[in-house]
Amino acid sequence: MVLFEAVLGGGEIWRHIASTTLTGYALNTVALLTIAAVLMLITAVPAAWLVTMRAFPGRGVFEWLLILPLAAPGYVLAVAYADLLGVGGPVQSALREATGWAARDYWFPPIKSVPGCAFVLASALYPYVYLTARAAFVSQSVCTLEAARSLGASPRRTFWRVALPAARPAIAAGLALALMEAAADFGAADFLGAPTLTVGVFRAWSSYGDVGAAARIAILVVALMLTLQWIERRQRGQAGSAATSVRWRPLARERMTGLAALGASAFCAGVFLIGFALPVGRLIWVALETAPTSPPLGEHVRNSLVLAAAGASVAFVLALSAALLGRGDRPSGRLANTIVAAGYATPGAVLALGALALAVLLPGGLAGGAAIALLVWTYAVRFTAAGAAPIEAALRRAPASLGHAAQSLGAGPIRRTLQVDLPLALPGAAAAALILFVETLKELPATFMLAPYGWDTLAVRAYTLASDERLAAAAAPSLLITLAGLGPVILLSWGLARARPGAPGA
Amino acid sequence: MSYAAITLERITRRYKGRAVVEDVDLTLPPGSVTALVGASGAGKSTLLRLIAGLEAPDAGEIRAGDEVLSSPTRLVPPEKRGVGLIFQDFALFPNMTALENVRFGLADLPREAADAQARAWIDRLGLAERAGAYPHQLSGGEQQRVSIARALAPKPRAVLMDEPFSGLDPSLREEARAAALGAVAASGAPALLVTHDAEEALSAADQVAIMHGGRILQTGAPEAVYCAPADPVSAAALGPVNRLPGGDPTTAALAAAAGAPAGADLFVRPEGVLIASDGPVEAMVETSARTGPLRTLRLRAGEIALRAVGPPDSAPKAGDACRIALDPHAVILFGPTSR
Repeated sequence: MVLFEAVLGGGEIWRHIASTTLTGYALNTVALLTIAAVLMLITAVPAAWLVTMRAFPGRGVFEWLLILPLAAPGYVLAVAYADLLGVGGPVQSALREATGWAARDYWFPPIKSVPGCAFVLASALYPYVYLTARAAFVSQSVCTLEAARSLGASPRRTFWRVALPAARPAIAAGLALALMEAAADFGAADFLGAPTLTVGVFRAWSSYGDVGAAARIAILVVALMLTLQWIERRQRGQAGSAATSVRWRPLARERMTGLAALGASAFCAGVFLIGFALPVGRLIWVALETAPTSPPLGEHVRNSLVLAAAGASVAFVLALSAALLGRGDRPSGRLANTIVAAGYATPGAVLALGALALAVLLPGGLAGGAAIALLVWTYAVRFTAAGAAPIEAALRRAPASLGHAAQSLGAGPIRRTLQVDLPLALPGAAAAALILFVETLKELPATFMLAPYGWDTLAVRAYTLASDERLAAAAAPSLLITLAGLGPVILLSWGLARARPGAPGA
Repeated sequence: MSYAAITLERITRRYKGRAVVEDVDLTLPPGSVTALVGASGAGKSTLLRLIAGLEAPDAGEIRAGDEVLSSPTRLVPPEKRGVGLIFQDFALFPNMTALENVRFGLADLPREAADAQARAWIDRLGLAERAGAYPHQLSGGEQQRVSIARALAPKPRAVLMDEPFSGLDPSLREEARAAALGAVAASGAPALLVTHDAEEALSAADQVAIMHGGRILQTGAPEAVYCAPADPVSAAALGPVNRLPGGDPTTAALAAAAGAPAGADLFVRPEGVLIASDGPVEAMVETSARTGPLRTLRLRAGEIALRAVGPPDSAPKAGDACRIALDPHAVILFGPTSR
């Protein structure tokens, strides 16, 4: 649909955008992704190495604390940091009090800028890199590391020459995934004044009302996303073949002492504070401070729950079907996987644009029921892949011989799916349902563009309040979203601890 | 119920242009176990998958009696084929009890009849107490017996076993093998046992087929193939064998004494190397180790290293010198094309 609009779309406003702001959008996107990538690499990779390979005070706690930022969407961190680091915020106030300067006497790095936005998104998304790097370090063969040490390589040389090159594909895959999220982000980039291509799609639609122009920018975004997705899949393929030794032993963590141990603890604590504790703590503080005066949220909570339940249900059925179809190497399964993956690679703003273009064709236009149906459809397209992943993982854990056994015992495809594959998929299905519910709950741009009047969700509420600079009022809905997001993150970290080769019960 | 033989005729299967199974002819007679022996990568498992219908041949035909099961143009799907599979990992459905696993293949019967038959199979394999247990509650040996009951319950027209005993403890293996193959033989269906364990093939099968590089090199009764292999690879597939190069003076002396032709490579199994005080050649005992009921010796005679066996107490010890001869009936000769 977006493609269709792009080809036929009107010319005047497109030429205007192309000649004035398109280059800016593209440059901002590149700059944002570059800075965010560097920030994520220099924090997530060392943190992952420390918690897997070294013993220092707090290591076991940091191992899962460092995942928590996944619970807070980018725009929530953006709201928190805009408040923390803004001119009127506690940091700059304290600075002025300490020095006696006035607001214009000093330079403070502005949070409302492209680097500021990169910083916020890196804080929110580094766990993707941390998780894949950690998984790679955990699953590397202890034998190769011990071989390197026995051949006279120092720990430093072992890291740079053996461990890091072996983990490189996994790290690159995680980075590509994080950058996909960053490029698709709308809330933080728009709020922090970093007009990227995704923001451009939205603006072409909202300011100029030109769906065709928006669609042309959207094509650039989708091309960028598909490139990142291609990199991710390619690297993940290499990561899979990298394991050469299949003998697992518990990692013998090297004990750190003195200053080094203190430094390691401080580094991990710093990453956690910046990524989660400081901004979320600030939100709690503000929300409690303003609780008596802040507007009620009951209606938004209800809207969020209803829409998330509807979107998650549809996406869940699709995800389960796609995962079951994808079992075995049938063409229908491959096609389903490709479609699902393409949906995941398309930012919410772009999907919403496609839905809007569809709505024009509807007799009643974008009226209540139709709008909600389109919104639910958008959620399903966007998130089915996220739900299919845990189900596929559950199915992959079962050996192929189970399917062959069922076939040899006379079970046709339908009986096999219902009696053998479906029960195998169920452990993953619970996680899938939770992930889908929370992803839908957190979704901002599509909800903002499509939800009819009176259907504002918590995410939309937080965003509109923040856009009106009512940061204190935005704290409560932001917190509620983060709270909901903690569920799947805790589930994830629990699953990770159990999935480690060599761990008891694994 | 009478069973028909499974016949494979000129079966070929290629992956990306490379033949992993090439021009294979094989007959599985009813009521007997055929062991398919070969190193890993020889194409054994692919051949099994072809018979099960999990893969289609690129050329050739698989028949049950006169009925064509597989050909490049016709493939009876696995679920319509009635071929029982027994896997190395047992492949029990984790969400079903032992009884439910066995009943899975009896879906065509009315509920009561299916229940009764499944229970009868469970009983026959000595699992009556464990019928309600889930796979993770069963021991390895019990899991395997469930997988055998499950495969046999629907009265398959053939039973295919892919290294079914290699997942078991060595101490359990022999007993499990006896129980499994006893049940399979009693069913009367033709059976194929894929294995890389020479001893298992020799002791448990009625017929062995040696597979190497995608081809079947030799088929025959186990003892016949062991004593008269068609080529050096078949010889090695069923147990250790000594090779004495033709041009060597030690070989010449041993050959002359055993009445074997001069100048040819000689092959002889360890039990064909005799420790004899009147032997033509002197050998040094490099190692001598008790390996079960017998002692295994590693000897050096001139340039040649030899493996021999001897009685546990009277056989020479490491560092001894002894004289050796070849048992004339144990010498294996191959044609001039042999490697």
